[in-house]
Amino acid sequence: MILIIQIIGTILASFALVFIENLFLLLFNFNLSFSIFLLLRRRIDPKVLMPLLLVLSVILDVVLHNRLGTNLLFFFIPSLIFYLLSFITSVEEGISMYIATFIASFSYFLSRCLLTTVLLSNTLGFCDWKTVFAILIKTVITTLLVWGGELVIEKFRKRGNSNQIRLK
Amino acid sequence: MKKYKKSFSFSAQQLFLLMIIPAILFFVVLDSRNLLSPVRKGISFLYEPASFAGSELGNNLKEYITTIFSISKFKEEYNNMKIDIYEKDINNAYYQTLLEERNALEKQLNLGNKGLNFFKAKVVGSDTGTLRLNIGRREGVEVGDTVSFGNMFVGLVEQADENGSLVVLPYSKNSSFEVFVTSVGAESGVISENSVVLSKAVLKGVGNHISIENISTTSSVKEGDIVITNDSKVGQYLVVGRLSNLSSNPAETSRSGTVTPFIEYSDLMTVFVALKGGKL
Repeated sequence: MILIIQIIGTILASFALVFIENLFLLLFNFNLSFSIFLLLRRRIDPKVLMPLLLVLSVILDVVLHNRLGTNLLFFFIPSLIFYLLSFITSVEEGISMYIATFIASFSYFLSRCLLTTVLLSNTLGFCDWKTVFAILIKTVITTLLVWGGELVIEKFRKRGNSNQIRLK
Repeated sequence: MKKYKKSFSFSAQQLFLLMIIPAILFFVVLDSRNLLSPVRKGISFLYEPASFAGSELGNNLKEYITTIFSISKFKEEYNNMKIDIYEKDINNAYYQTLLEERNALEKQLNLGNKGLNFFKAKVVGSDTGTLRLNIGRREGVEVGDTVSFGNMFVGLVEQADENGSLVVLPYSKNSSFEVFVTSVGAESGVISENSVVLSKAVLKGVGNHISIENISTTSSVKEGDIVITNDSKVGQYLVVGRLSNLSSNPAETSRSGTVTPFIEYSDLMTVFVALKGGKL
């Protein structure tokens, strides 16, 4: 029963994600789905995250008229960066996590700019200094969103434990 | 912290990355060969409405945001347009003045007394029974000069200063001169000295209207007849207006009425002052 509710919830969430993604893309040319991915990647089991990411990225590819697999590639690149950075520093907590988030976000937006057309028409996307500056701004916003999201989730967790008796 | 490490262990991450690569290749290769078009169609059918609604809302919000951020630009544009409109109004008013002046000159040339010399003058102000002109003694205007507009009588110069003069209109209580009433020769053009004089009379300004008195009871004067100046003070035969409100009391020794001018004095912008030399 819980599984059915979870599936229905996921389907409804996918519709909401498509709506919000399109809304933010038109308003600010900003991909909110990536910020959500960054917030969820540490909280969802990779066995669940993988099929979820697969389905959602394919849906986003269809509604954004990209080659299927494009969004999956864009999610793969920052995931790879996180994996590589995990050898050097902690990508799970502290300032280093936000630095890693910044680098991964930058790679995500840069790959969006350069690789979207590669998969569609085998030509590398155009990227000048102005675009790089815009990407940097988007990266900072994404990092701030992740930071804010982490704070909010943390707060909710603390509130959830508030009814528990603490023993000093 | 421990929980995270448990749920997202190093090997799980590796597995996650290893699974993504073939998935990407699978989708890219198959989609480039159009083998996944049924999948695309199905997803498109389900999710396009949500996508369209998001895009629509995004567009509307973007429009609002753009408008809000462009308010200063719109304000500047509005002010520039306002200035443009004012400039056009000013130009239009200037052309209207020129047109009025042209019409006045045309009328003066066609209907005015050709034996006289005239000064063209601009009306710079008006009061009850008076007009102020922009020419005075410097231009040669003298007290008693006749002011006309075409063949229409406007008034007599009452006061002439260096740069301006005051004209007394027939409405003024100071205005009184002899006239004759005729039924021909006024509307059709220049007044000829051979006009049929129906009756002589005296014209007096009352303030709010022009009164005409001493019209012969035996004359065939009727309402609508033309009143023409016939006074040495005026020096020309000029039309004052149309006879109206003619009294019809048989007990009276003479008849009286009012004169309705053909021109609205307060609307005049250009008038002509006749030189003294050409008087009757």
